[in-house]
Amino acid sequence: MLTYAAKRILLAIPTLLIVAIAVFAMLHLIPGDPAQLMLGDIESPEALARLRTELGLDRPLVVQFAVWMGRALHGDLGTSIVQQRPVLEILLGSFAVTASIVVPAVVIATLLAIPLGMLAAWKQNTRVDAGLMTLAIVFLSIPSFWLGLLFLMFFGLKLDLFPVVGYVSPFENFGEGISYLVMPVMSLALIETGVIVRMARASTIEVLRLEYITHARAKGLSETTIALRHALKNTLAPTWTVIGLTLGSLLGGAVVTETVFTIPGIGRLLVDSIFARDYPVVQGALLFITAIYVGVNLLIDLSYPLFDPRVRLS
Amino acid sequence: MRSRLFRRPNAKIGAALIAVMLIAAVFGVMYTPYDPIINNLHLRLVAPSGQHWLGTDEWGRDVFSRLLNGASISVFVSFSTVLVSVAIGALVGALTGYFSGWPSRVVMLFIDALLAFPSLIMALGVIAVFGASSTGVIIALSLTYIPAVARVVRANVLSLREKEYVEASRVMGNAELYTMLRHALPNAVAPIIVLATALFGWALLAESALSFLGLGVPPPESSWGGMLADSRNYVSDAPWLAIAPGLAISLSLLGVNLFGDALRDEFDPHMKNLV
Amino acid sequence: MASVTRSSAVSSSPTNGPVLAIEHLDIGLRKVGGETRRIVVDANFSIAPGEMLALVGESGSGKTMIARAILRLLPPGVAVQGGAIRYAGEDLAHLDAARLRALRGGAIGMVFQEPMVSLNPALRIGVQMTEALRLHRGLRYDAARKHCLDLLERVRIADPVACLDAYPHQFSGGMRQRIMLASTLAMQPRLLIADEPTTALDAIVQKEVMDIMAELTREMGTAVLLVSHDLGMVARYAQQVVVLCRGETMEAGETQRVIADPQHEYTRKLLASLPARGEREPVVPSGAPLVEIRDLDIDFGKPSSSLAFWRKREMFRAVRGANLDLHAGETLAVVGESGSGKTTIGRALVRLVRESGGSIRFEGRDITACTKRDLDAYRLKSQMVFQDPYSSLDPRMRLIDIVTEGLRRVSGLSKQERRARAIAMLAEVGLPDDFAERFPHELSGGQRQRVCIARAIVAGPRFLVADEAVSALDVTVQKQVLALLENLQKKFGFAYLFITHDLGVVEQIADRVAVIYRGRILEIGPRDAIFADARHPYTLRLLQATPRIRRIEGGAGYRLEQHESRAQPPPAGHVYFNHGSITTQPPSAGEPEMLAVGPNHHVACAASVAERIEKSP
Repeated sequence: MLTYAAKRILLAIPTLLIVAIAVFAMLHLIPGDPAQLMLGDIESPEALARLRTELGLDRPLVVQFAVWMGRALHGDLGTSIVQQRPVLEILLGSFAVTASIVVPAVVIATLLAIPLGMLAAWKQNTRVDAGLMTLAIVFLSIPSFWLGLLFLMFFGLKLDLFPVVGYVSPFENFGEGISYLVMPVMSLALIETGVIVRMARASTIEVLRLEYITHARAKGLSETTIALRHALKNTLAPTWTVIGLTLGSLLGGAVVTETVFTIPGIGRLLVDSIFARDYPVVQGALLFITAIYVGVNLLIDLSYPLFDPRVRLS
Repeated sequence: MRSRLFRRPNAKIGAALIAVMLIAAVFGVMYTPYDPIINNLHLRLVAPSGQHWLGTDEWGRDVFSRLLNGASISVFVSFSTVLVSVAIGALVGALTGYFSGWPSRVVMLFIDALLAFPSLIMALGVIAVFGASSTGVIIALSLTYIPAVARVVRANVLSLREKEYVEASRVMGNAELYTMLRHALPNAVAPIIVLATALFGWALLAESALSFLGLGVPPPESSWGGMLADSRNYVSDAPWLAIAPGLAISLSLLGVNLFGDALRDEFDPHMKNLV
Repeated sequence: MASVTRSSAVSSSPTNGPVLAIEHLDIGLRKVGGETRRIVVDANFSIAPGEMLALVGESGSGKTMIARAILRLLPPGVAVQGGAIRYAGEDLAHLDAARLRALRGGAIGMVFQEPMVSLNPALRIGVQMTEALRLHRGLRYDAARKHCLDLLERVRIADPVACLDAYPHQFSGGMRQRIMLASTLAMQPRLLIADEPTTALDAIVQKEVMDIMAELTREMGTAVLLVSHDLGMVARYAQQVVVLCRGETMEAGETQRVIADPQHEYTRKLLASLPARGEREPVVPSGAPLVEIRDLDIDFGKPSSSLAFWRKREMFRAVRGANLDLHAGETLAVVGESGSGKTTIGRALVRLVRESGGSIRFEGRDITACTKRDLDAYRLKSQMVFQDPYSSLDPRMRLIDIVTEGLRRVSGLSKQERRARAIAMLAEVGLPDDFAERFPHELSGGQRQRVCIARAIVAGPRFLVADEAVSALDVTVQKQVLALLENLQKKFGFAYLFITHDLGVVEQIADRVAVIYRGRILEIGPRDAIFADARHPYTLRLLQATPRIRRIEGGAGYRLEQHESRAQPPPAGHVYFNHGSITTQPPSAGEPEMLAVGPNHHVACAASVAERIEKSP
């Protein structure tokens, strides 16, 4: 188990290093002088020169990378050109907002999707199965930003159930915060449910085909016991991994959902910073989001042995 | 095989929806009832009518015409993305799957690292470099999907290499290149087709998301995502602006997803976990 | 060599009615469109307490369907159409689900074919074993556990306590099957259904598991329904037999009677299809061998994770110091259990794997170190027939193209000539002209294997490596393909390196036999010497584990034959290499040598302890 964990963690290091190189290289791939690009045409030559030194653009690329990387490891991702605040500080604040949408969405989607997926598999090729699968494919074909807009039009404007735009942290004012979160969370969660339900069904069908399920039936166990004791764990193992991977699309989905509901999350921050050419923030956000994504998938991989003892002991 | 594929009702519905999307795309280039780009400010926010089937937007442009025009742009961008990413990704995947030396492993290390970026986030990063334009979107999305294609193709080539009929060809003394081209590649085509169909859907969705954010196809050119973004200011006054493009995206995606599922089940029911 | 009719003869216990009675059972498969295909027709049999009844048949005979119908574990779309399944006065076919569940696992237990997938990989063995006890007997976990420990001991699991806390993947196939058996018998069922319980196991393990099963069920008075395709095993263990073909009962009765005096034509055909010692003129090795394998070592890297990027891969040695000669026109069989390295030798011979040491000479030329041109020439002279007839043909090619491809490397032939040769070769393997344009999926397993043979021999090779070439086939088809191979050999004179785990097949077609175990050749000799005078204890165990059915001389019937020759002591001053550590340990250290014990008959020995002490300074 320990060697497995160590291996997986070691494996993430080259990945993160390459990610960092790619994010660093980004700025230098843009045609023209990065400092000029960031400041636009209006600024004075003095400001340009100051930014150059600040960014270390006069030094060789390798040195620049080493310095940048070294600072990043110490949590120093530079300073925002627009807001004139440390990038990390800005990122942490907006990520907390994004997390409060994404995390509930994943949890709701998982809790909905796994039982439904198992049910569909158990009732394979019946009307229940066909109905659930049709719903799933319809939901995963709806873009989250459109679903968000529809929610906004219907629940927000027509029924006036939830506030239409803006964000209040649920940690400051729980009731009000939740009311701001309902629509963005549901628009992400429903689509996510469509994705996970299909995975859960597919992996349950694989499991049901195996002889140990027949063996369990031959022991006289009830279908509920078989589902909970024999199928669930084996179904969860592959589905769990997929949940981690779909987190990527969810983070992408959060960008547009935050735009729909004007929520000050990290996705909106990234888009605004691209428009504003605030490259330290763009780089920081890219690095930060990817690191979170890699980290979560690492955690999921590390929890995999809980479902499959073969990984634990080999 | 074709007749069997269309025996599935989902395949029929999917193909029909795709056909509608393609026809709309053709019309978008050849003929639209009104000009989709030129403003006509006395016709602002006209509700759907016999004249303007889907109404007009805040610049007085016919929504239906813009929808057709948006279809051609979405299809063009998605199709180009699929073409570029499958061509490059399949090549990389085939080479790394086939040659198992250290260069392959280094390439795979990079591929894996690129896969670590959430795809839309990576596309945003690339757009930040290349700027918002159709070409920018195609480059960004291709770069995002190449690693995924390479992975799937590599896995396929690896498993095909172990097939007994591929070994039989080696035992006959056939050159490795011949064996790959004659036996391995034709049997790897089916999964690539399935993957390409899925990619088309992803690209369509991602393109509209980027345009929605204002980082995709720039105005005044119409795009479904951009139309949705513009509609936000008028959700209470002109809800049709939000309904039409959203339905267009969703139905196109539904078509691609239904057809892709049917293709996958047809080619190989065991690919369910791969894509 | 003596013979007995049945090793585990049982005096049938006084019957007070059968445990299970199948009456006029019909089973059907509902097809798309509503029509039903009958897959079992009017099956009738009954099993008395303590008795073992076997359902025997080839694939598609419906034997498994009958067994699964008893506990209503039929696959989707398959259902009982008529008749009754009587157990203790109740008709299981029409029982309500709750009552049936009460019988499942309690009074009626079941053991499945694939030990690798019939235990849940995610649950500890203790949890799985105690499940039925807790459910049906209402035992608490501790009490159930105690009971399980007792049974694990009885199926001879070395450390029962550790076993209960372990996961299934920590055990080999044979061990898992014993655990399955223990878990099922823990309920002391009145009826045990065993569906091909040992088919996936190696011969020696197969015998161990079957012996334990026969012993325990006899003690408990459990009736057993055995489903098997293996007539030899059925003859050894079952008192009653029902012979099935395409869902219909061909013949039923006491096993001994049925094989000694088969009444139905199909039973006779089945028995006649069993491999039997052919009256071959032994090919006397003369002159230089066609192929000489010397000191062959083959290593494999264990599959490495991508983390091991910069590290050397762990290696394990699949073949150790193998020496083999293959003479023109002879058949050399290489026998061994799975993982013994037998396949690897064959694959090295056709250059699908590289050796790590040693040499392979073909007509005197070392093909492990030769020019590409020589290698190309060699490729035409060596060919291979693979085990799985379903994956060894490219699904996208027509048969004619598959066979013609075998001529691709032969120069100087026009397109018409190639085609003509391919068609002639298809005819040679018994496939008429109209097969040429077909695709592999339109063919049966036996026909596919014929295509593989045609492809292998079309360019006129000097020898063929046949890797378990008939193992996947039903016994009647197997017989036809073996006959074809023999005829082709007579006609074209090529040599076979025949790789198999099946001693019956070896006995039928081999001139010489090499026995391989964990990468080492332990014994090699002429077929008759190996079968009549095996020296190595491992060879003997293998022979004893394989039940063989022989035709009674001068009669129409058959009888079960038991291998009874005893181990001979090793040549003076030596011990048998690996002696005493056959199944549990890798070969002991020290290099063995092959000592001659008869004409062309060699056995692996190591210097004995005494000798080693003498030699050491």
